[in-house]
Amino acid sequence: MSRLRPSLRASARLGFAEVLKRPHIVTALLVANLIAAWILTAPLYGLLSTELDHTLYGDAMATGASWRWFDTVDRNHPQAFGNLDAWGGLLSDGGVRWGDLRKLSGPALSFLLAGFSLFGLSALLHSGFLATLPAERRMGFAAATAYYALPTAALTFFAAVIYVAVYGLLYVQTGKWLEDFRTSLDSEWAAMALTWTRLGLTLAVLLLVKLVFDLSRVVLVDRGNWNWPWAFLVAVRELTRRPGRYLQLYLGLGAIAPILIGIWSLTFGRFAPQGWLGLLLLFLAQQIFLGARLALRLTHLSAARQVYLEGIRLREKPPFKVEAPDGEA
Amino acid sequence: MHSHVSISGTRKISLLVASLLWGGLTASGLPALAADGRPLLSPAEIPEVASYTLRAELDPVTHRLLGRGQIQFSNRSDSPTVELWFHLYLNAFRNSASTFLREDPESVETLAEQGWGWTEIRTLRDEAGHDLLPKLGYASPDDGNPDDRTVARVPLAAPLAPGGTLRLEISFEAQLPRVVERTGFKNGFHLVAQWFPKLGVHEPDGTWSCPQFHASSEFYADYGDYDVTLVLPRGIVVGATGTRVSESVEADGRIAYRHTQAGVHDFAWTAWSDFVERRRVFRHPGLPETEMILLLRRETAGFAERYFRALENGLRYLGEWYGPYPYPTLTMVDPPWGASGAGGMEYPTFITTGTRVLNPLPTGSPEGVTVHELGHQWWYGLVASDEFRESFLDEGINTYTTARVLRHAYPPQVWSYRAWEVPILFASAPRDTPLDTSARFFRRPTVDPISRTAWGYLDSRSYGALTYSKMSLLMEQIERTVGPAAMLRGMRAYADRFRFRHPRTADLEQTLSRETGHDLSPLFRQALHGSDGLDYAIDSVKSSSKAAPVGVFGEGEQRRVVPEGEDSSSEHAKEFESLVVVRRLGGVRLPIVTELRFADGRTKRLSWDGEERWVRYRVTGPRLTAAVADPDDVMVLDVDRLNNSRRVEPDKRASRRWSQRLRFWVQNLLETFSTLALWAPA
Repeated sequence: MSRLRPSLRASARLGFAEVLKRPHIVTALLVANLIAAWILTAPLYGLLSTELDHTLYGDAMATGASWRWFDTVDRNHPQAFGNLDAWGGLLSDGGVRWGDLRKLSGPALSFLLAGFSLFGLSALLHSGFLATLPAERRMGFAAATAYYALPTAALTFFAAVIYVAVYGLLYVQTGKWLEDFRTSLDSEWAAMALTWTRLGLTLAVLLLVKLVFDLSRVVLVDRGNWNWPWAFLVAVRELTRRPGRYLQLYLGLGAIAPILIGIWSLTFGRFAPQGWLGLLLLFLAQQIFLGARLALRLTHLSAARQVYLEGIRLREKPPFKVEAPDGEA
Repeated sequence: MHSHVSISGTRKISLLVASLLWGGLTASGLPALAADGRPLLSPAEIPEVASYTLRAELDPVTHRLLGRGQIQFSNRSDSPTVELWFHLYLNAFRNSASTFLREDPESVETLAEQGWGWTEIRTLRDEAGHDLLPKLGYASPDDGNPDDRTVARVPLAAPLAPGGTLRLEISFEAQLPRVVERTGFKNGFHLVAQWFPKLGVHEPDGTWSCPQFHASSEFYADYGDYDVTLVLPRGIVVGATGTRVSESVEADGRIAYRHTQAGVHDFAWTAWSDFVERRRVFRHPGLPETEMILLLRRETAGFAERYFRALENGLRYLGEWYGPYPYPTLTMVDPPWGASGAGGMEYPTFITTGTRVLNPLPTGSPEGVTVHELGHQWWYGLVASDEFRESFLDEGINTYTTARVLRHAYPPQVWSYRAWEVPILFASAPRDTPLDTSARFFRRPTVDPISRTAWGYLDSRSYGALTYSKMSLLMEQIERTVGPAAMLRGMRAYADRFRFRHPRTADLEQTLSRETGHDLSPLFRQALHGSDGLDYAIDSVKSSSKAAPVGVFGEGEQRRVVPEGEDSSSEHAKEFESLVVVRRLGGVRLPIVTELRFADGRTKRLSWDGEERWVRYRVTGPRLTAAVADPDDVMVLDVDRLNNSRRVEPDKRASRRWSQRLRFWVQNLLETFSTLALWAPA
């Protein structure tokens, strides 16, 4: 954040202050995710207990390298987890292997679908948060979430379509071409540079779409109506007017995330508690970490709103002409 | 047999070179010895069967190769030979109908776009001047594929009697393919393997062993002497099997590199103008000196020290354990980016490895592949088993001995994952050798038996899981069964006895059984020739306070009825009756030890022959806390170690920790999903 320009730093500070003023919303989002995670993983607890409670190797499986346990589960309970190899394939460096989706079992696909559904739900809740920000039309979180549910859902769907379309185009046109080209090179560094170029392009596209999507919601809430296509166009125009400021804001705040993850990895990421007290401590640490991530994301949104409002103020003409004092240029 | 050996011109040179450069002596000047004290044959002393004197001219622009020379074949079988069988491996890359490309169709696209490969014999005459070429025909002994041209058979003008020697004049033309597997070119880089018409193996019974080239199979050939001259334009770095004995300028300005090596069964070479060459001499007390030649791409030149260390560790440990490396040179090639298909291969005195530019030491790369390919100098090079029909004898044993070397020479590798080309190390998760390094077996434990031809497995994954991983685990299990010292003795005897020979699976089994004093035939029969899984499980454990006997006791006047609960203060209440059921879930039957662990810290071990499907142990004594089948982890082939132990009382710590971890992962995932809804790249 220290690298941001003074006005951007102020926007970020204001945005963060708005988040701090609404701890109930951060908590609500955190708890919503926690409950969803609990529900999604509940069917696995019994399986874990059956597999691990009576074996002397359970502790080693829960702390060290765990492929043997995963393999056992994969072999003995294919319907519980689906084909783990297929999961690995889906996440490969070469991009998403759609054909491998067929290998996933029904429960695994259900898990994926539930996850994507929650993505939509998250978007609604975030818009609700955003709608609590305008001082002149302050709404309660629940009421705001409900009020903007429909246009936000439409915007979310639209953004998802753009994501898939842009990423697909990028992958097919650029990714595949780069993949073929990189094997023809003699230099591994050059080949890696191409891979990182593709990664950079992908992230840049994701960031741009994200920015447009966030600004669309800012505009929507700022104008207080449901006209999401119009909000989207205004957001695009706003972003083309001052792209540097938004990019700098998002990247500057985004740089905090790796710091958070690094701190987590070096502290509780390696903690393997043995008793209830340790488990409780770990649980609290996990929620603090996730809460911090969530607050950071909400800060992005409210800080973007500050930058947007700043832009409007700058564009508004003063009501009277200001003359320079005599003798001054 | 030795009396039949004639010393050809090639052999004289080889003998001269061998005696000049090494002569079978160790660094201290003493001859290399077998474990039983007898001197080991040097490469120049072994009877040659198939020797080659060849001249090859490579056009590095068209990747076309012209070859000519002489082949000398000696019939060392007991019956006359009426024909010769040749491998024409490069024809595997001739078209999509070849057996190789039918088995590996993914390579077709690359070859179609960037260059097919083929080879044709232009002339073939015996020393009497008979033209043998008109009768040359192609054979497909493995699959009957009429479109495969990787094997040719040529009738002789007259039968060659046992002990007789035949000399052929041959010329051939070859087009190298774009590297997809083992051989070919990539831009200016050339890895030239399986490039000349090579004789199959003439077995002692007079038959020819000359399988087609398959996607999974490697090679098998007879020993002989090689004298090869490679002609290339100036400015290209060349490396090859054997020792370079001369380098001369041709009339047209090209350079001719002459390499010779006695006592090998193949010859491979490489040529690339961008190679960085590094040389160092390996010296270790009791072992012969070896000149190590590294041919590296510029980007991995910084790995030279790690490569040298890996080779030195391999030459030292493998030499001490299984007999010294007998050749004066060892050339190692790190192929360029995009030519990894040429990497990870073994040829006599010439290996190819490979690494990525971002590979810190804990990843174990390139150390693992380097020691492995070097290990093939023993398991394939010196102990020349049939890589077509018994590929597990070299790959499996080599995987096992590679793990031994790595355990002795390096700290454990750690788990790593490559994300967008950057290795991410999990420093707190060391990999277990051999269980983690053979993980692929546990994913496909019962698909095939190990003893299949290399092309006879269900698929390439099965080939890898069984040929490499299961066989290496089998060797590890034998070592844990008989003890490391006995295993080392057995393997040294196997390596000594079959040095410069072609052993079979039975030879390995018999040698190990004899030398270790254990009858290993049940293990070989079930785990190598059979496909059943090995899986023992503790099915149930119970331990309850021993109840006092109730009922009618005594007779006549002493008769009394003891009701339930009356004898609670007796010694019975201090004793526990425990029941343990061990089950054999897999088809493999082996004796197994079960350890019972009691609350007072004592343990009790019980043996079971494993023949029935289950055994029940009833024990009276202290309270039982747990039972463990195979407590010393001897049975590394056990496909499910989680069920090898069972507690009487559950310990829920592990499942609670996993539950919490899973929930945290999912919660993280959900927040990451909302990354799409609200930007933050966390």
